[in-house]
Amino acid sequence: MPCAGRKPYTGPAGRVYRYCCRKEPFHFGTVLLYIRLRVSKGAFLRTLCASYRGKKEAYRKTLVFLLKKDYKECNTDAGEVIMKLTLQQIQEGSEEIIIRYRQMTEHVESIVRYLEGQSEKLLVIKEDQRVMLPLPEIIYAESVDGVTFLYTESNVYRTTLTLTLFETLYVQSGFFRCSKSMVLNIYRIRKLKSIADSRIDATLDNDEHIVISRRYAKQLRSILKGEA
Amino acid sequence: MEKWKKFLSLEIGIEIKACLYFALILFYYFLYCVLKGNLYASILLMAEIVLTAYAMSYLQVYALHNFDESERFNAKVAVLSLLCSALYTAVSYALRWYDRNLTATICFFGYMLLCYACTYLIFKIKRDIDTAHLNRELENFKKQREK
Repeated sequence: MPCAGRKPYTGPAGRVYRYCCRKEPFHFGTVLLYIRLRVSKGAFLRTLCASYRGKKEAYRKTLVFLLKKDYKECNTDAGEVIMKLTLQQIQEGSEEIIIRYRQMTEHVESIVRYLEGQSEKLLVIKEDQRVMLPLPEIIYAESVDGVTFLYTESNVYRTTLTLTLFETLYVQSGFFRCSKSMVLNIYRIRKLKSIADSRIDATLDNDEHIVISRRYAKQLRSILKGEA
Repeated sequence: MEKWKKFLSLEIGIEIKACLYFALILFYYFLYCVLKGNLYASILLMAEIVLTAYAMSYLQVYALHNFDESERFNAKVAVLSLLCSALYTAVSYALRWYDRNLTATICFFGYMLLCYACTYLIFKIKRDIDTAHLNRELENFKKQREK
């Protein structure tokens, strides 16, 4: 039912409509009532014409059009900001998605998180500014006092993701847990060295040395062999 | 649980080390017996060797930082090898493993020094092979992504 959960009208017509919704939600009459209550008279008449001509297809199309319009109006009435969606087909150049926003709300952030899963960039924070960081630039992630920091060659960023979630989301991008509080990017390891007690010393692209304990060294070996 | 696992891991390492040195010392003892013309070995003596090897392994791991598995053969490793060889020799003399034969005891000291050097080399070579293998796999892993 369109705009489920919201009472469309409080007058007599609205009461009739709600009754019809309970009994026959998709009855032609119910739908007409719904449309009449929610949209303009012109649109209502168009629907009536379509139905009277017996062109069910036209009726359905008009209905869909009106209901979509009505859904947007419902949300606007609720006070939420509706994003304008513009699609632009290009003949040349690379494809990209640009999100223009005034304020980083939960809604915008959820869209960004969804898109992050499709791309190799991550929304991170640097000095209270949000930036998109390409995943390959991240050398390792470390959790300190419950906050996850991402280290590149020259900068440190903060992310709202937990270390476990970061590891889970980006394991396919070459990130693996090398200790209780650190996740390494395998593609940013310059060389490995086997040391005593079955541990591995990893030299990273930024010349840092990370000692991977026996337990995690075993996992690393499996990943490198392609078994994990 | 983590502490228990770490303790168990260390204990297993000590067991392996003790068995290794026991086998090495036993070889020297068998050689000594054969040269003496004796084809029988005392079980009590072998038990003494095992217990000594165990005690020395505990000392090496907990007090001497597992020096025979070091990355580099530096002065510290050399001194500790001398110390442990001397300890083994002292125990062998005190318990009459070689009937307090001075020549056999001195040769045993040199033999233990050689064992420590070889043990260090064996572990080092093993790690070097493992390192080369790891880096090869790392390169292959990175190349797979580029494909």
